[in-house]
Amino acid sequence: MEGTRRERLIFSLQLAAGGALGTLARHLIGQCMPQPSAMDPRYPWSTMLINLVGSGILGWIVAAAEVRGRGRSWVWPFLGVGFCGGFTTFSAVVHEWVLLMRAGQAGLGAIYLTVSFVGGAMVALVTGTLSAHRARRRGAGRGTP
Amino acid sequence: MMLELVAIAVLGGVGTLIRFHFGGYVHLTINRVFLEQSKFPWGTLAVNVVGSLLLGLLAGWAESGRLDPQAAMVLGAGLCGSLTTLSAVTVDLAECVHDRKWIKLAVRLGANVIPGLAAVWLGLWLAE
Repeated sequence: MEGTRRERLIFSLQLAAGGALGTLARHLIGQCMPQPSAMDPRYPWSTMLINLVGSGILGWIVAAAEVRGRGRSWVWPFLGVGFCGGFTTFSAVVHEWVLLMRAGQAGLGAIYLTVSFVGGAMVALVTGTLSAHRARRRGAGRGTP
Repeated sequence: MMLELVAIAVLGGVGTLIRFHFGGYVHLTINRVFLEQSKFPWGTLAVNVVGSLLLGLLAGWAESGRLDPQAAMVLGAGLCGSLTTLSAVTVDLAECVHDRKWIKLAVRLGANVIPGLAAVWLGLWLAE
């Protein structure tokens, strides 16, 4: 990492704060919906929705950053790597897929993986396209006095 | 209940720090070894595989009664959940779609999904 010691410390604090908030939000949303378990391997709606929403937010941030730079200094560490990174999760997806497969729900398992990865990419593509358009329009507006 | 939420939030912060710093270290090390700027997100893959293996172990231990299910849930949701990430993977896949690079898309999809599934399965199997 570059920057002074103080800048690196602030960056890491933003990462940790965003990650803690994203992780807590994921847990609390999960508590509001029935969770799949080894005993009761139902379709993991909460993880699916969380991952789709988080992919959408990160897609928005990354595309905006590509058009006009990283923007406000807290967006990337706190909201991008921290919040979106901690909110979305990979390990729960693969674990819940194993639970569905063990229960003989191979079809649901295939749907779950496809929606999580390909569906997540599609959501990120849509939000990224919208965000890039918005960033370019704003950039053009700023350039013409 | 309150303690559980605090533990999950703290573990979420710790997992995120490990994801960024360990993932970055893996990425730099692989680039140094291959002497090229690898565009493949090695860091994300590494943390996803490690976190999935750990979640498999925790779930396996909880199933066989060697670990308190509540503790396994807090560690799994807090640490494994924040150590691993899906949004970085899906945004990377979205860039492949945007650039119409279909072979790259298929390779990246397989390179993320297959090791992840293998890691969680290995963890569950080791914990049996």
